[in-house]
Formats: sequence, structure tokens, C-alpha cells
Amino acid sequence: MFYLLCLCLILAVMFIVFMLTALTSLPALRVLLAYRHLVRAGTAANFLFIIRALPLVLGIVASLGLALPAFWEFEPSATHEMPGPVLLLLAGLGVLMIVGMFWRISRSVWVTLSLQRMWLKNASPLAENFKGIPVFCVKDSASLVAVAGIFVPRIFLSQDVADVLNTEELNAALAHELAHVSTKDNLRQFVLKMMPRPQFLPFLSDIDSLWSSTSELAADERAIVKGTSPLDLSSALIKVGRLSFQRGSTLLAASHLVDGCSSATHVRAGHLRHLLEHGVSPEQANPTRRWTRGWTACAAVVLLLYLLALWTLLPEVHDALEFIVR
Amino acid sequence: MWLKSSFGRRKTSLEQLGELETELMERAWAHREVTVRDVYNEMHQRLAYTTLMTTLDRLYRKGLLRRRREGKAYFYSAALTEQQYRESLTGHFFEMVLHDSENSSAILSRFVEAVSETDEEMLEKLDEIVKAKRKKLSRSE
Ligand SMILES: [Zn+2]
Repeated sequence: MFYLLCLCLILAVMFIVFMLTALTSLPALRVLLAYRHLVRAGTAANFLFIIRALPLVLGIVASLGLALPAFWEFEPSATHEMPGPVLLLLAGLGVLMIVGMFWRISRSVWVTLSLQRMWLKNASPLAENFKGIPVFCVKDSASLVAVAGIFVPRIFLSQDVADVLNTEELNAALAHELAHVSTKDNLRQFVLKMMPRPQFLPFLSDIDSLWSSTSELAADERAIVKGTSPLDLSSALIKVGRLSFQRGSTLLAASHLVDGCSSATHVRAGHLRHLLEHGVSPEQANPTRRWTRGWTACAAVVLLLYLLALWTLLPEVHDALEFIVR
Repeated sequence: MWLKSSFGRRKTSLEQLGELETELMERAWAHREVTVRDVYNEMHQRLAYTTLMTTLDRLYRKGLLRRRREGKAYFYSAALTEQQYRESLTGHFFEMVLHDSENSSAILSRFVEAVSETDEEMLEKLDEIVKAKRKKLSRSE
């Protein structure tokens, strides 16, 4: 009974905290949507991601970091308390939520692995890695430049792209992909794909596509900051974009799968045009390193506060849990 | 649009088809519709009726054939053209299917996603500026 009660509580707490955070983050996302032009693309992408992932993070922290130790510490292990109907309902909803996440992410991982396997079957590795990342040239694929893999990145490049781009343009395209690697965009995608996007909140899907186009802009900016010429990057985008357009994307555009002016290509082309016309370059600072340092410091402080407050917090948490149980 | 209509719920299988499956697909492209009986009449020296029946059924389940029922017989027709089929084998088609909003679940960072006509216009405008800039640069050198 102790373990059943414990499991139900963890699931219920996870569900409650997830939902509360998700609901309260909606207005924050709307504000960010309205004011995203005021901050750099990288910053906007970071904020969008954090707010979107916050329900999951807080859900895990509250359930495993607080509810579990509080229950373990203060609940007598010989308890005969039965989980009540409300607790059972909340725990059930928690299970449904977790199963949904698991289902979405396993589908994503399966599709990604099948794609990679298929590309690797027709691919030959280039003799030289690009800044430490292996590059594979895929025959029989069309207009493909992509980085796959969450922890072990690999760059895939189709033969038609390799044929059409000159060395500078190819390096520019690869630098853009490298920027995705350094900001761990595939890991972020992994988290975002896990998050629920209920049909009655189409706004959340918009937010996810906005994150995707913003992170594309950020990757362009980062590549330029790292020394890629905006001209070469523009040429690469134009050439690969045209290849992609010729090789069947028209059909997709016709089926309304691509939203006209908010698509990543559209936004990036506009942004590069602006850079070229006005001769401005993105902020010279190294944004990712600054962010990483900031976040590491933040995480350390939060962890320290958590450890310091844990023992004083646990009785309060346990009282709150009693409330849910009854 | 055809992408959705022709595939609906079933998705084209990725694995390369076996020899017999390819042969049956070729027959489906050559004739507008085939039945198990038609194929059996041509291939009965080599293959059993049930083998043909299960293979056609498998192709249908993989989303490569469509079928309609008339009386007791199923009439099979190709769900995609030969070229689309070849592309599906080499991956291009699968990549395109992946762009379908329901299927775009792959965890990848692509340099360029699907490009629409509006994007293409934007790229043209960008190209004009790139050309002008390059001309200016080469003149100043
Ligand atoms: Zn990108």
C-alpha cells in the first residue's frame, strides 16, 4: 500500500504541477510572441524553449525532488491508507500524460533513426570532418543538408547539394548546421516533440514553429558571428532553397503544409537581405558561451537553494500531500 | 494534396521490396488494374495462387497498391507512379512524406525545409541583392 500510495502521489503531483505551469506559461508565451522582435533571435529562441519546457521540468522537480522525499521521510511505511478517488483520478491523468509523451517521442525517435539508417545505407563519409563532426554524402537524396543525432551529431549532405554549392557556400551551410549543434537544437527539439500540443490550443503549435524559425535565424546569426560571410550563406540558402523547390516542395506548398510568410526560409531570406542591404552584422559577442555560463550559474544556485531548503520544506510538502491524499 | 489523398492513413513502406513484389508492382503499372487471377494466369508455372494473393495483399497494406472489391475479387491498382515508387526506394519520397505536418516528427536540423512559392519569391529578391553585392565587390577589387 505504501508503494502504491507513493506512486499515485508522484503521478498526481507531476500532473498538477505540469498543468498549472503549462496554464500559467500561456500568457508568458503570448507576451514573448508579441515582443520577440525586441530581442536577438538566439535569445527569443532560448526563452521560447525554456517557457515551453518549464512545465516538464517543474513537474519532474516537484514530483521526484519534493513529493518523493517528503513522502519517504514522513509517511509511515506501515501505512494502510488507500489512495482516494481524487488521487486515483489525478494519478490516472498523470499516467495518460506520461504515456502520451512517451508515445510522441518514441515515434519521433523511430522516424529519425529510420531516416538516418536509410541515409547511411546510401552514404559515404567525407574524408574530412567538419570541425569534428563527421559529414556523410548521401547519394539519391534530394536537396538535403541536415544534422541528425542528439548526442552524437552527424551531418548529412546530398550529392545534388554538394554539386551545386561551391566550397565557400558549402562551408557556410555547414557552419549553419554547426551552430545548431553548439546550441543543442536537436536536444531541444527532442524535448519540444515530447510536449503535448492539444488540438484546442493551436497556439502551441504556432509557438513550436516559431521556435523552429527563430532557431534557424539564430543559427544563421551564429554562423556569421563565427566568421561566415553573409553573402556565402545567402548564396547557399538560395541554391539549396531552389533545389528543394524544384524537387517537389511545390506539392507540399500546395497542400498548405508550409505557411507562407512565417516559414523559416522566408524569415531567414528576409533577415539576410536586411543584413546585406544595411551592411550590419549580428552582435559580436559570443552569445552561446554567455548563455551557457549564465545557465550553469543559475542551475548551481537553484540546486544549492534546493538542498538547503529541502529539510525545512519537506514537512510543509508532506502536509500539502496529505491534502491531496484526502 | 495528392500526398495526403494517396496515402491517407497508410504510409508507404520504407524497406526495399522483394523481387516478386517489384514484379507485381510492374504489372500494376503496365495494366491499369490487376486481379490475383490475372497475375496467376501469367505466372502460374512459377508461383502458387496463395503466394500471389498474400503478396498483393502485402503491397496493399504497405500502401503501394489500392484495391476495390467487385463480387468476390479484389482489383488492385498502383497507388503511386513508377517514378514516385523509385524515389520512395531511394528515400526522396520518404523525405517528402516526412514533411507532412503529421509526420514531420523527425529530430533533425535541416538547412532548408520545404520551400513554398512565397519563399521562392523571397529567395529571388535575396538573389538580386547577392548578385549586386558581388558585382560591387568584384569592381572594387
Ligand atoms: Zn538550420
